[in-house]
Amino acid sequence: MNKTININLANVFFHIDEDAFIKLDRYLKTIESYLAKEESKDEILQDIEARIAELFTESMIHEKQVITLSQVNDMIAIMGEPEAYKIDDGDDSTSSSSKFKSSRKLYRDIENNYIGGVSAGLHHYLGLNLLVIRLIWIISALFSFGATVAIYVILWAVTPAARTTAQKLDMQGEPVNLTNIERKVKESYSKFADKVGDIDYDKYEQQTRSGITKFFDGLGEVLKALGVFISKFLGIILLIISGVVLVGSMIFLFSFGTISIFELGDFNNMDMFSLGIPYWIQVVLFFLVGAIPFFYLLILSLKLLFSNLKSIGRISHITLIGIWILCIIVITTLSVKKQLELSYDAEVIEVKSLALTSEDTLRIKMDTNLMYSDDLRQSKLQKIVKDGSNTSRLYSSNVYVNFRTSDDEELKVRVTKKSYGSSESIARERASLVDYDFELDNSNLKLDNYFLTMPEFMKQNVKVEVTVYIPEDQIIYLDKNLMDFSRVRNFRSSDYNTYLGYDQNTWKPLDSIIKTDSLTTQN
Amino acid sequence: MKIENTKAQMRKGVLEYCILSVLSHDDAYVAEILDTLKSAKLLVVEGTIYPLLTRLKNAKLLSYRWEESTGGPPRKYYQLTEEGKDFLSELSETWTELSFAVTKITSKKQTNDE
Repeated sequence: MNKTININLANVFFHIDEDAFIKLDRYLKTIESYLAKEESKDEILQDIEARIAELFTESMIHEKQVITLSQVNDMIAIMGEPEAYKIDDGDDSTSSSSKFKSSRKLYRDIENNYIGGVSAGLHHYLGLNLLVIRLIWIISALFSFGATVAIYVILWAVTPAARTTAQKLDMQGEPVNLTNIERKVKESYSKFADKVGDIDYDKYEQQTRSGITKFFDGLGEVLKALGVFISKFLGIILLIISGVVLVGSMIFLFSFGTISIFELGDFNNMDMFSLGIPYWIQVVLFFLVGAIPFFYLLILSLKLLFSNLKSIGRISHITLIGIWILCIIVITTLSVKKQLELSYDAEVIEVKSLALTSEDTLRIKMDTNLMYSDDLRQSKLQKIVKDGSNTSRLYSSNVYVNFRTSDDEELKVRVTKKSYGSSESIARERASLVDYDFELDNSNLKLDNYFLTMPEFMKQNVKVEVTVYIPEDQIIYLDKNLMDFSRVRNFRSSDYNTYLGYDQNTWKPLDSIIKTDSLTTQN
Repeated sequence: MKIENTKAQMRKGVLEYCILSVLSHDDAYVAEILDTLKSAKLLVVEGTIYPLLTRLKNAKLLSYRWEESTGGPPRKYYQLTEEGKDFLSELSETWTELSFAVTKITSKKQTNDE
């Protein structure tokens, strides 16, 4: 069974087999290219078509007969190969039209396929060795965590298979590479230059008009060729950008995603970006939001590079855009929810007066509980620990220390526990569940550098602010380990690990206040 | 240098003269002109004649009229113009001289060779 095509040849109607049509079409196009320089090209072609129609009519036995390939071949035998149409086949037979071939199109070669015939198609299109192309696919797939496999699948989906003879011929046409593009630009430029040159030789005024028309025709051709060049160039750049981004996000997806699924890593320190859902779902969400636009960019670049690609289909479009919008909605909702959850803050304040038993210098330092951590510094890291009765607690060093002077003669410590919640009462309840401790041992004030609270409060920015109210006449000694936690801005690092006295509204190192008799108060 | 090229060039050179000669007897359409030329083995394939005819027509040596045909497409009947007739008679003279010269030279050469 053969597909037939209806054609009109010199106003005569013919049924013609598809393969015969392709041959005839190519024959006529080639003749056209040979006659390109001829003045009355169209008229000659009409005459030729009329003669072909005549030959076909003669060869037909009855009216409904279909023109077959053999009839076309017989016709060509009578009419002669396209070369015969050229009159001046002098020395310039090397001119542009001597090897007429249409430019290549990218198709999948389903006759030489391993998987989808993409590599074989690229082999025809780029002229690269088939084995090399397949190796590139395999190696790049290994190095990119399979991201190029996705690109392969996309190419498979959007590239039409070469099924008909015409497509098979197009698949093997003139190779599309920079040399050929450059050649085309040059060719059309030289045509353009010729035409511009013609203007100078046009002596008569009435010819100026046609000269200008020729000029713009030529300009149009150059622009067209440049346009093709630019769009291919742009296509390559977009292909590289979108390819790199897709490969990158694929790596992101697989590395972070799998690590979190198998809980191989600690992601607590990434709570800034946490939306309160399992981490791998979040990774997938961000991946989809980022990757889908670049997927479209990839398709755009492929369409710029290969003109004959088919659409990925309406359903795929709707699905992809739907998924994308859905992901954005989910992310927005979750982050708004997260914001709302922390929209109210509340403080629970405890004030405790401490009796100083001696006149000694007050030494203040941070203290840690070695059961939970041996680190005296402040860190953003929160962790779950087991307390003495083996219950899980949240350990956090989100503690800040401030120093003020006491208006009465008492040493006081004010502890502010701050928490957030979706309502004030929730925030207050949470704040009251924070356990923070300090201790005055003779003249040593030991402030815990951590607090414990419920494990559920992990990502809720609970913090403790400690304000120490110190009598004005008290000499203090601040341990260096306070530095991390101190909120007092005008304390320099030299103010730690030294004796401080209160003078003129600030705490200053003693030796800078009085250098003589103050030494008696020192220990 | 290919022998085919030289042969084709020689043939094409006299082709214009022959087309005009065919038309000097009677008006004809392409197929008829072709039959004559083919029977004389001057033309092997038909393609060459179409650009030539159009050129001759553009040079105002030929004119044509359309005539309906039975079954096929309408036919172009070519005829010589006055200019064409003058052109032909000039060509005839040149041809006579040329063929005389060629015959003389080639036959001399042959006798010398023998």
